[in-house]
Amino acid sequence: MSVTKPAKLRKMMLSSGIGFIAGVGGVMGFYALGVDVEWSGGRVAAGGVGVIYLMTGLFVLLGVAVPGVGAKLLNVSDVEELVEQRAILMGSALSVITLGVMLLCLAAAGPGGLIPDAVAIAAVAVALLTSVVVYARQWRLYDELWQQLSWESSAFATTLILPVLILWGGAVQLGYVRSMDPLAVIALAAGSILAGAVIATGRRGLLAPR
Amino acid sequence: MRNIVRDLRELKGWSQGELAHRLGVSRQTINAVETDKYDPSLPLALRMALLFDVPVPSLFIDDWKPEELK
Repeated sequence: MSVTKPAKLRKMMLSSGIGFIAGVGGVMGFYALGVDVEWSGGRVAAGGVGVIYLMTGLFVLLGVAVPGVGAKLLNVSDVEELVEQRAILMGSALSVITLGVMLLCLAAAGPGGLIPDAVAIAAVAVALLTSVVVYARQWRLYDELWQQLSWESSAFATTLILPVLILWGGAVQLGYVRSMDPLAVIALAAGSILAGAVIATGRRGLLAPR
Repeated sequence: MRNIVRDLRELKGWSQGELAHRLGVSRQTINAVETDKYDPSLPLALRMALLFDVPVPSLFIDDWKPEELK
């Protein structure tokens, strides 16, 4: 089914608009929950990246659950394509949602936090376990394009995070800057993975509206 | 690298989904190959050539030439 350019533009603006509103609303809502919490840089970063993960995952989950709506919001050519990719998209959504919840829990736990530390520990365990199981299963479902994109995403993520960690860690070691906030490092890793995926798909022109 | 996958597919009257199914890949892969966003692996290129009954160099066109032929 061919889609005209104005229709593609409308679709891109609709999904970007909803994503932007949901993202900003989510971040503001999360920070509003903890008005009494001391928001360190690491907490703000982990919370922000966590909201982006959570919203992205929920967006994809909604699209898979209601393909008619998903075909209008997600970058697929039609409902049929969405249904074909259901297993992969569902797995990705599940993994991304649990990682988002993990980041939010870590940002909200700790000294003077909103939630008990045990909840954050449980969220970390669930997210890591889910992601490992999903990734192992996804790899068998991927065809060569998806496998290639997965390798490229990982390569870009590593390229992004490695210089920052080396420079930052080196500067800490030499006493030029204060020690790293562990949450900031976690947020940086999670953000790099997301950015790596965007760069890999964008570089191949696969983010162009279909 | 350019290719004539779309032309040959349309000549056969197949949809992208149908070709994807015959080759055991996703529709996104066929779309990405046809729009020159992805160069397929050698096994997939060979399978495509077999399916369309054309040699690989006719299906995928690279303008590169060895020095001695320039």
